[in-house]
Amino acid sequence: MKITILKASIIVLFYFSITACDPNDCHFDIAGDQLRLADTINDNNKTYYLYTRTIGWQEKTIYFELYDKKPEFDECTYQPDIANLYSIDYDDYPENPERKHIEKMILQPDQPEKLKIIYTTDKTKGVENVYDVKFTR
Amino acid sequence: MSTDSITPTNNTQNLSKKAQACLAQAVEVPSAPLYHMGNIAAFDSKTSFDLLQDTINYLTCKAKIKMKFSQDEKEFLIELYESLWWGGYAKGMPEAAKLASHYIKGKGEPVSMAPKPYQQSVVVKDTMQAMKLYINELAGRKEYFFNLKTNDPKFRQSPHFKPLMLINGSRNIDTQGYVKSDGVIHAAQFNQRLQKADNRFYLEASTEKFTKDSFHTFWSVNNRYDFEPFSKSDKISNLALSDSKALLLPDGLSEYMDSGLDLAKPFNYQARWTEIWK
Repeated sequence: MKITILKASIIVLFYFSITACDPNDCHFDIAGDQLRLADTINDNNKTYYLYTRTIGWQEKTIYFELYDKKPEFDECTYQPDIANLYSIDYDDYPENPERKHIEKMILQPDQPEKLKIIYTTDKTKGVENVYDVKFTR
Repeated sequence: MSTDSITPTNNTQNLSKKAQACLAQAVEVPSAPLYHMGNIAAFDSKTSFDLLQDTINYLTCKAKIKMKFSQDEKEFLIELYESLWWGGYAKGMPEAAKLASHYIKGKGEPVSMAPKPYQQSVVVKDTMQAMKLYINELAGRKEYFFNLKTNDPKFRQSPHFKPLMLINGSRNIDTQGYVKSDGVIHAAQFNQRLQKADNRFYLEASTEKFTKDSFHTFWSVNNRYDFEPFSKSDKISNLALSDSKALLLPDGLSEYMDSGLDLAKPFNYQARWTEIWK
């Protein structure tokens, strides 16, 4: 009985501690976006930045985002202070019949498709961990 | 000596080394993770944060090599998921909260979800419109239109499907969402309520003639709530508790709660709504 009351008290305190803040702030975000700088590359005297953004909770999607300046991300909304040049999802999902690995990540800033991704199902040819992907040089 | 006799011994030795490495990280599992989470959210407590993250890291290490969990360790994981219910609900994401809670309490039973987040989604509205145009065409040609799913090959080849796809920035990922060439709908990133409850899904339509000029459609989304194991994915959930502190919870640990600990069960969920349209 004492344990139940203690647990109930903790839940109430916990609830108030997270709702006392502005409901739109980033306290207790059930699954915030995860951002990682994957690589940078210099092309025609310009530096390009490749980020991965992982979104979702039980079913996640990973996006590759390309920037031509180093972005600053808001720590609550995870949004950048500048617009990305291009964004594309990593086309490897549990529902796909075979796991896809990235063999090449080609920067082509003058094309509408600014990041060209070439996939392989042969893990010896591709990058096994998506977070280790770099620009193809 | 044959390799058959070497491998098990080596495997045992490797496992033993890994187990020792895990045990070297052992921490005293906190009895009230909810209290510590509240402490981080309200007071940005580093002590509470380190305690929780160290515990998650330790349990992750144990799960990766399938070590047994103590009762306290199991209770810690259950409370962690219970806190997601409280946190998700308080932050205006009731569907995500309900699904997380059902993972540990639902015993694998199917569950229904409120359709509102789907109905309010831009990409779902656009997809419904495209499907209705396609259904109307099929009906006009007296072809079968009763059941249609977004992965239907003919629908994906129709002109109504192309505007739903993301082709070199043709749709805004943040505000509109898009449909992949295989028919999977991706929720808009800014639509936090849907994105965290159901990030990717198919839309299905069961349609019948209502009157001579109108149709009655039962819209539905049928999906499965589960996590990828360590062997398939390195994905991690980012549980932001304060402006500067986010707990990192590996998907593999959530999956191990089912496959290794029997504390949780994957389940099917469904959202349904109806519409009469012309």
